[in-house]
Amino acid sequence: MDINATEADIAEMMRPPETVMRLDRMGSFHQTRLSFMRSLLRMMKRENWEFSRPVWRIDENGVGVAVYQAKGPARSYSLVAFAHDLDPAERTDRSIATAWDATFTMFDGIPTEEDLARLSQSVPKQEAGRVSDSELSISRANKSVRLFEHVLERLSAGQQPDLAQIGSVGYLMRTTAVYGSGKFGAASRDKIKDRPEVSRPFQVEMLSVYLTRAYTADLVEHLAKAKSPDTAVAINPELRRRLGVGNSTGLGMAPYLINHPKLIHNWICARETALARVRAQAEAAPDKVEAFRDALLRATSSIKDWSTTDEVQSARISELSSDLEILNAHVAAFGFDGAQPWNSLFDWSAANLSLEAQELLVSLLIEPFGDLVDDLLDHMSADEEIDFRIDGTMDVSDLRRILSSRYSWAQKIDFSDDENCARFWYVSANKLEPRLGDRADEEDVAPYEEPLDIAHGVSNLAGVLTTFDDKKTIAEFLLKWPRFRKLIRRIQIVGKYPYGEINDNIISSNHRPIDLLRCKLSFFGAIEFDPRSDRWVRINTFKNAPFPHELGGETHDNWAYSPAGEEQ
Amino acid sequence: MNNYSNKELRALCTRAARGAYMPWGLAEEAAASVAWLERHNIHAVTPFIDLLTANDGADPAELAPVFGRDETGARNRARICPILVGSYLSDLRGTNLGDSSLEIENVNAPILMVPFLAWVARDLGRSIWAQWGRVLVHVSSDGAEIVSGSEEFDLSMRQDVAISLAPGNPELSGSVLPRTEVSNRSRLVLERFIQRTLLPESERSKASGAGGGRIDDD
Repeated sequence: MDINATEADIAEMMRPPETVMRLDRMGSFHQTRLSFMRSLLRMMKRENWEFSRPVWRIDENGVGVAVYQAKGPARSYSLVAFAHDLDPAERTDRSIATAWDATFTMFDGIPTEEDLARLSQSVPKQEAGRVSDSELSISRANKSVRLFEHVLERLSAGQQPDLAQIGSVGYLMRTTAVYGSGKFGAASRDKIKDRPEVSRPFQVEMLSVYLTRAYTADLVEHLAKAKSPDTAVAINPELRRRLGVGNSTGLGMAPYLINHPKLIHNWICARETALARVRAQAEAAPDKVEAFRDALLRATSSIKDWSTTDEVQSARISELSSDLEILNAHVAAFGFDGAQPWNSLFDWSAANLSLEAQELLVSLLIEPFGDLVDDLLDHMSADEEIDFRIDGTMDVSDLRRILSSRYSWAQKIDFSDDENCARFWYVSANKLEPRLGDRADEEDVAPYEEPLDIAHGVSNLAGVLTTFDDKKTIAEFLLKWPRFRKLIRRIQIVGKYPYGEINDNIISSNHRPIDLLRCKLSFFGAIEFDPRSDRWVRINTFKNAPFPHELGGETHDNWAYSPAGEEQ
Repeated sequence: MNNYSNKELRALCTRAARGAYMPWGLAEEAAASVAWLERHNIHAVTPFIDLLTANDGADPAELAPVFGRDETGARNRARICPILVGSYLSDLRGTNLGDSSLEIENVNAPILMVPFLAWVARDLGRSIWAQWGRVLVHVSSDGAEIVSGSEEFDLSMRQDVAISLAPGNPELSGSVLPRTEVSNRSRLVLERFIQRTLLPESERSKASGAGGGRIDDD
């Protein structure tokens, strides 16, 4: 790694948590070269992973089982896919669903026929079934009926699908949940955390989705052949790559960002450090300028595929498109020859572009600098157990100091105003999923309220702390006030990991939960965010990525933004 | 029987503890304790259920030990929550432990204190004796050995506990178990506590909930 800047330069360039950890900005994040999908494919390509489909027992009605195997240097992982004939009346993205077009599990190793028989009894039931320590995730997907039927019709008639229709939907199937470690009987993360190939965050889940995409394309080609053996054709490889795999995500994902402050700090800090390293570069090498211009061109073109019916997001995409024109014009005239030219560009964006465009520029600035930033991927996991214990030897005045430095924003909120605590988070008895409710609708929320009301808690804690002697220890305080244990543990963690706290009140009436989802999904590498309300969103994943059988050939690392017509 | 990963067991126990009487942070520590013990092959689910049942609905602040000025013991409560004691000792990183005993009366299910003592043993680089009734447990930074009295384990609901430093920090860890078997009966009891933390959906909350639309065929 060649860092053409001192550590002090880089530290000075870090944006503070008070700037970054705001929901409106987090809700404007885009995928970067540090995103988990991209890092997974980069790693598998570098290590020459081999892919195969040892089992394909799917009939002409699209019912059966398939196995996709990914073989790395040390171990193999297998996606086991069960294909179902779903009654259209049962097809729903909601978590109330009990049947799906396809159900999956990621098997640790290579499953035997006995394993497949066992899994056929549990995986199709998803939450209602139980898997074992041999399974690393479970997931399910439904067809985008509109696009699936179109592609099937065209292929079976010997024709290629329409590019515009592929562009408008983007995928043949969308996953409606991907459950990772330790859920419904699956193995805990402990089992895999020391394996280099999957130790980075969400790599098993990303691999599962990547292989699911291959399954969706194989399935439609298989059904076309079954329908019209004499005329059916396969999808043109370039068109095929434009098919991603969709995902529909609701509130279930949102509390994750609150419940894992150290992990989130590591994600955000990696992204911010990458940006700071680039900004701190004294000059811009010609090859980097060229790569940046290329990334900008690709993003400008790809953003045109992004559409949504959500009014707020639609307006933001329009503004982003206008801003990209401004940015392109600015870059065309920009000399890249002054001192710290990347930083000049960044500073200009803060004064001239919307948040959507500012954060897209962050992604674009990082893009050419793999040699400078990719090492940060190894700092994006977190051992949260190390910080589980409270340091009770700290005295009350030290805790107050952390509150002053990290939580002054929370202490400015007036919680006597009902609007500032209008909502509460709970877990629904029906589906065991996190939900957001209106406080005014319930008589007593206390037994049900999830501990996500951080700002409100800090406000209460600050009040109680005023009654306690500054010199007393936190251990003494907590013996008297055990209800603050969780919050004080958190405050101590955030004292060490300041990007771990969202500096906004997520129980106020004006908070948009999809901002939380967007932030997390951007780290996964998702694109084309399509909010369906203020609390659930559809996305596309792995669109334009090489398929497993193509990964060993010539591929473009920045596949996430690939203009139509480009060969991978 | 139900086979749980350590992580799933922990999630289950956190929510059950919250449903019984513990605030969230304490509930997480209780679950960490159960998971640690089960991982170290010491059965903890039953004492944990007994604890939740015994203290069901109690105010946790009333279950905390109150130490005398000399910090040598807590003797003035009718019942003490082992998680509050354990987490207090852990919070202090063992600074209040010495070669003479720290004595705490009326501790419910004291076995659940053991993981906290293991963490303190790691801080101090010394193992710890914990004694109640005829039970004697030797706790080191990486494990625990029940030296005597294991047959009384599940019955020891309320005991006077003595804690003291032991010489050295021997390796006591045996095999670590990644999975825990929980009986159907225990699971049902845990689920009864958990149920209290879950809000039944109303028609209104279903309509404004988190999921997708009713028709998803686009």
